[in-house]
Amino acid sequence: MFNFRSTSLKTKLTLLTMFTSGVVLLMSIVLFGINDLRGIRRTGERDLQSLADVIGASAISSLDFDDAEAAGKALAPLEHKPSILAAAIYAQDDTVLGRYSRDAQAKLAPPPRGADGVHYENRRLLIFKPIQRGTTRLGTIFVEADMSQLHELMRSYVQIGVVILLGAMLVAFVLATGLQRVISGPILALAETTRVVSERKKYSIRAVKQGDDEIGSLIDRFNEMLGAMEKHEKTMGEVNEQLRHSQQQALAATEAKSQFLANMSHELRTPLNAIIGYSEMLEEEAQDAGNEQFVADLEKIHGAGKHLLALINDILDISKIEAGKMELYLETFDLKTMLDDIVATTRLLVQKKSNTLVVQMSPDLGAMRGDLTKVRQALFNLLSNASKFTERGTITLTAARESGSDGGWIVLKVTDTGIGMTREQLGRMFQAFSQADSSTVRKYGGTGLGLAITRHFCRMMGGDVTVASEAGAGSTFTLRLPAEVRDPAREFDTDQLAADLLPKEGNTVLVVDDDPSARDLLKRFLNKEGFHVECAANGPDAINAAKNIRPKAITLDVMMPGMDGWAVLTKLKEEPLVADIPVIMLTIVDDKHFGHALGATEYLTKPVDRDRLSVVIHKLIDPSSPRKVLVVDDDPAVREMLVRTLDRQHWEVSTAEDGRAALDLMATHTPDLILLDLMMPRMDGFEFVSELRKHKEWRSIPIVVITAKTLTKEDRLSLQGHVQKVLQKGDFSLEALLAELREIVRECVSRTPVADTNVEI
Amino acid sequence: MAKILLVEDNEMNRDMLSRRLQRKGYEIVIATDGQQAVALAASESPALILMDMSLPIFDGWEATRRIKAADETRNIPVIALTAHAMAGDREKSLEAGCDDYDTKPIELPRLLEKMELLLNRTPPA
Repeated sequence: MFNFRSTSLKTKLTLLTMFTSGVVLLMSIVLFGINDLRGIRRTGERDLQSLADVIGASAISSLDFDDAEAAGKALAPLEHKPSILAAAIYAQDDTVLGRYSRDAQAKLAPPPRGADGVHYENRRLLIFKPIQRGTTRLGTIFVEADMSQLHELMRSYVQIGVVILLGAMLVAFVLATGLQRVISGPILALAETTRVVSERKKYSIRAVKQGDDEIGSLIDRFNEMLGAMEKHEKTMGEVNEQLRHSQQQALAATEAKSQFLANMSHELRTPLNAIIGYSEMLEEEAQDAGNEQFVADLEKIHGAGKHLLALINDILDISKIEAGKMELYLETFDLKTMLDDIVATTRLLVQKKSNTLVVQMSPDLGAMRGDLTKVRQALFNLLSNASKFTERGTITLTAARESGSDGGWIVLKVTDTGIGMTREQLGRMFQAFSQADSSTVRKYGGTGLGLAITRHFCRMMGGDVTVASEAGAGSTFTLRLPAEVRDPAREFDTDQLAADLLPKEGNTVLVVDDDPSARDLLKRFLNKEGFHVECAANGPDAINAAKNIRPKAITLDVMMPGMDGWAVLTKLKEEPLVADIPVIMLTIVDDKHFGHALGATEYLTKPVDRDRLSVVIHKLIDPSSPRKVLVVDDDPAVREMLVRTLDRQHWEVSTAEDGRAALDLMATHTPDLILLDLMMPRMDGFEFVSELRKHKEWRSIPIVVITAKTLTKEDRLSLQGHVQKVLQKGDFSLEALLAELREIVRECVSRTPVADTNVEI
Repeated sequence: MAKILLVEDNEMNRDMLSRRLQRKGYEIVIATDGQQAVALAASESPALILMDMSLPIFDGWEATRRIKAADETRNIPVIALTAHAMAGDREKSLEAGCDDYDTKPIELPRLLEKMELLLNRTPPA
């Protein structure tokens, strides 16, 4: 539908002009026409009346004598008036005395005398007029005139009117089109300017003013606005520049500070080593010489030196932490050995204020994988704090393993019966450079960095340190560290990221196990196999999850507290919605028949054999739909080997002995991945790749080249961007190849929507 | 008493450690850089080497590698002494062939313990 509001300004102006002029013109044509026609009609009437008068006058004598012949003669001159159709003279008694008819044959009877006056009837003008002598009425004259002439005139008026109107509209259109520019031109120019400004964010351009009218002032205001914006932008840019500069300076300063601290700490340590060493040596010599006075003083120098060293070490640590240069060195160590060691080191410290150290180690401590140095330092900080703030009290160190979640946790607790802390003091506890309050520093010394460092170390390892304390009653610090610390920089990120990229749709396995470490293990393994994994920790959750997620398969642990695996299985099989989902039972007890009787699809004993689980789960579901692979190689032995390997991994493999055969095959059978040899008869790998590029629908298929050829620079260039990976024959293991392929397919699946652009890069 | 080769470029540290060890009855031979260390290890046949890691000419790791590569010095135990108390340095030292490792500042009882362990293990020179 035509929408006037949305048409362009040009059209609007043109239409308005044409409409206005059209209406005015039409009105004037109509009015003039009507006026003209009325004038003509009046003239006609007057003519007819005077004609009637003349004939009436000439018929007086015939009326006097009732002479019909004379009456006829009086009417005879009407023959010369072609417009007169008929006429009649009526006597006083209204009988017709004489008549005239233009069409002689018609011999129409004149109408009975009507009222005097003018009447219109069917495009005819009828006049009845008295014939009088003085005031005496002698009779009546009737004249009928044809008025079709008038109608002709009217029609030609209309025709001329239409022609004039059309002509005028045309002229109006031409003029309006030309003249509307006066108004629309500046507005359109302004609109264009605003577009350029908003698109290019260029505030320096100005709209051109063409006149001093309202549009002119609009343009003025607009330009003023642009000016303000330009100024604003410039200021912003300068401010940003300043900010960037300040930021860089700040960063550089921080970097310099950290570097300086690191260097200084190192520089400070060298002379300190000498101080500590010499004082210690002199102490020994004084002891040997039996000079007790010196021994005491030298001990003080020695102690102060070691204290200073500890402070410098703290500063070095915190500067490393702040510079983000603290790294984890992971190793597996025996916890008991580490704890015995640290207890030995701190024994003197503990005894200094007559405290007793109680150590409680649970027997199942075992080994831990973490940064030994950092765990030691964290624990040492806590123990030295405890001995610092406790006098004649008891310091208890407890160590236990928590097998609760994710591979287990190591919990190290240091409890003292010292001064404790208030709520406010607890809040500032772990901040760098802050101790409980400044008086503490005077009384107890220290940098206040120990706890900040401890917390940072714990968090780096994926754990944390917490504190519970009451003023006057002592404090308990708890280190909670994962038994298996993972290096965040190395494995965690990539694993988790890859797992997150896995498609969820139709590719989900529900893992049901109450043991978090078992869940985690299964999740990792299944992620690697290309599945998305959801977990449930107990029976009711598992049933809910199964209903909501509708996974492709469920692995179900049998031994669970509350609702056990068998109960869950029975419940699942009763629900029509989820009854069809295959369930793999995982159990320590081998009770296969029972499982099958309850409806379990597969039955595996714990500890789970990964290969077996892989086979079972792949048998049950097709993990990611793209599993069709095309092997193109002219060597039947290579084809055979690849087919056998891939087949075992549930790939759907087809083969071709050269590029040509591969293309033929692809016409009916599009693979999700192509393994391509380069040197082949008929059509080699290079040609095949370039052929493939010609088909849009094949461009996104990942290609892995497996070749014995040593690739030249040109070869690489021609393949670059078109193949995912080049593997050298004999250079890779089948295991590596499979991992590689799985990875490539996984990547391709996760970026399917943009596959085209990605592959073309 | 056992002959110890002390490799240390810092004069004060060298003086201090050598005097303290001498007081404990060890015979001390001094080297101040990596090259000297390798040469003295061969000519003096010490019972044990205490090796600082940051040394001129070539560093302690390199010196240790050379000492452990030569047949006549291969069996001399080497204890690495380093100022960088970092876990990475320990691995680096052991990789270079050091038999043990201690951090500076030296805690004499701890170092003596390590030395005795290595000295008793190897047949007396």
